[in-house]
Amino acid sequence: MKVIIKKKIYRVISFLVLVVVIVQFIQPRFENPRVTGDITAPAEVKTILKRACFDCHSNETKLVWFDRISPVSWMVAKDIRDGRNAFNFSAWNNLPAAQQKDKFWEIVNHALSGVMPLKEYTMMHPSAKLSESDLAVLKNYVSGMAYTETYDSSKATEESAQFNQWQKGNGIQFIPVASNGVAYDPDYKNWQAISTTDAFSNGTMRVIFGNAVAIRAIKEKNTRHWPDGTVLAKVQWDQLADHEGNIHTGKFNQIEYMVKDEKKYASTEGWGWARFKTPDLVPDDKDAMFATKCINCHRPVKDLDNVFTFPIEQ
Amino acid sequence: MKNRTHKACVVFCLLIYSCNNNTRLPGNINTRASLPDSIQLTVSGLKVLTTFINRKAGTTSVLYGNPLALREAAGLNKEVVGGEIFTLVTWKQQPDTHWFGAQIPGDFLSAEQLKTDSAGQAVVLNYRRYEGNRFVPDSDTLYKSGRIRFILAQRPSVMP
Ligand code: HEC
Ligand code: HEC
Repeated sequence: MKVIIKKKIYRVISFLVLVVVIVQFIQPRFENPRVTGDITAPAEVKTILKRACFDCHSNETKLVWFDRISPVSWMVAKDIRDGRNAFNFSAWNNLPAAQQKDKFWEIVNHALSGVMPLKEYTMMHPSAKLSESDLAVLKNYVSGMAYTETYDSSKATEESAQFNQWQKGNGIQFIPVASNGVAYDPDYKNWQAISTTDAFSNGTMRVIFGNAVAIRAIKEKNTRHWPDGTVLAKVQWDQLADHEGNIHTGKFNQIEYMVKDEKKYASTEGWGWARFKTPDLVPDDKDAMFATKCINCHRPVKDLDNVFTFPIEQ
Repeated sequence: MKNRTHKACVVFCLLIYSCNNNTRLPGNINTRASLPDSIQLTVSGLKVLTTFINRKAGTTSVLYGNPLALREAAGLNKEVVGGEIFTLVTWKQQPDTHWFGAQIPGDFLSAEQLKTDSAGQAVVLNYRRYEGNRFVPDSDTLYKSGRIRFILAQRPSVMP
């Protein structure tokens, strides 16, 4: 009896070993394409990025032996592909300067919130973990990229022109709709404001509005999992400094919506995402993966139903 | 014996883990910024007119208005008419702990209200101010008229 069981176990084990050996022949191709626009940053910053991020976000990926074992290698290959697609430090200098800055704020925030580097990766590569002092270096470096506002008459003119146009206009002729079906909703102007933001990082300011469902959820302290029907709208303007150094809303840039419908938007975290740019409210949906961009940047608050805002009850 | 210690350890770890999990996910309502219940002033029913930041004071404000107030602010009324309501709420700023690079409203500082009433041909401007949860009877008329002028000088933010 015992002998039979032992034999069976032996057979199962040898079968598994065989499978593992066979899958080793199914290997993804690892390639390091040419570096075309390596990021320029102070040495202490670059060292941190190289150690913690470059394996997935550059063309200087350094694999260790266990990264090459299938099926781990398949996951590693996918992370590298998606990581490079998200942004690539080896092509960094090919991005326009403004985009580099915005992206770096995002990068630092992903590092601070602990969503990057990926947990699966740091488990196997503990040296990639970021220490408090690494984070301080990154924060300090990115703070130097903060926008400093001063009175700028051309910005004031820009705002005035937009304001006059807006007052003259009799509204839009049709309701713009993004490719995922989320429509611009003019009613946001009648909703309650739930917070404001002074984004000194890029010199913009925002008001975040919530529809009636959102306001009820806030009253009922039900914001950890916003109910279906919730709509959050975020309006963004340039900051406009006056002579005294006070900051007012300048040019209108865009309005963004998050529309909760767990079923309909199951593939995008239960939210329908959309951005409409300029006073003409042009849907920013040219990139088919636009919602992924929204979700990726909202990842630091994944555990808060993807919502950054701390709502104010008023 | 060893087994029991082991089990206790596992239970203990689970407990710590679940507690940790809770503290990592606090209620995310910005309570310090909410308008105190005790003040006789509300923004419900009013629309956002504009928002601004005072860098020196480190404060941020939202000015709300009823439809008449919005018309007035947009310069569509030749002069102030009766029935306008403006409410200006001001907060101390605090860093956004969810996003390094931004500031959000922190402690609620003040709420001011300007209501216009027509009295025959004339228009009366009624101004009230709350600081924290306390009504401030303004004896300083100079301060008061300064604030009224300031509120009436604000222009609506472009909101297409
Ligand atoms: C193990 C691979 C891996 C490592 C290491 C890694 N990332 Fe990522 N990162 C990804 C992948 C994959 C994505 C794409 C989003 C997704 O699918 O999760 C991503 C997305 C991001 C994004 C979102 C960008 C966008 O436009 O969508 C940021 C920001 C980011 N990573 C920052 C970092 C930083 C900072 C580090 C180093 C501290 C880092 N990552 C290290 C794999 C990695
Ligand atoms: C660069 C990172 C980033 C990207 C990309 C991004 N967001 Fe956000 N979003 C934020 C931050 C940070 C906030 C918090 C409020 C603020 O900063 O004004 C926010 C807030 C919001 C809010 C208000 C509710 C909340 O979560 O606080 C909406 C609605 C929103 N974003 C929609 C979108 C949509 C739609 C897209 C994609 C078209 C998008 N966002 C892309 C960073 C981002």
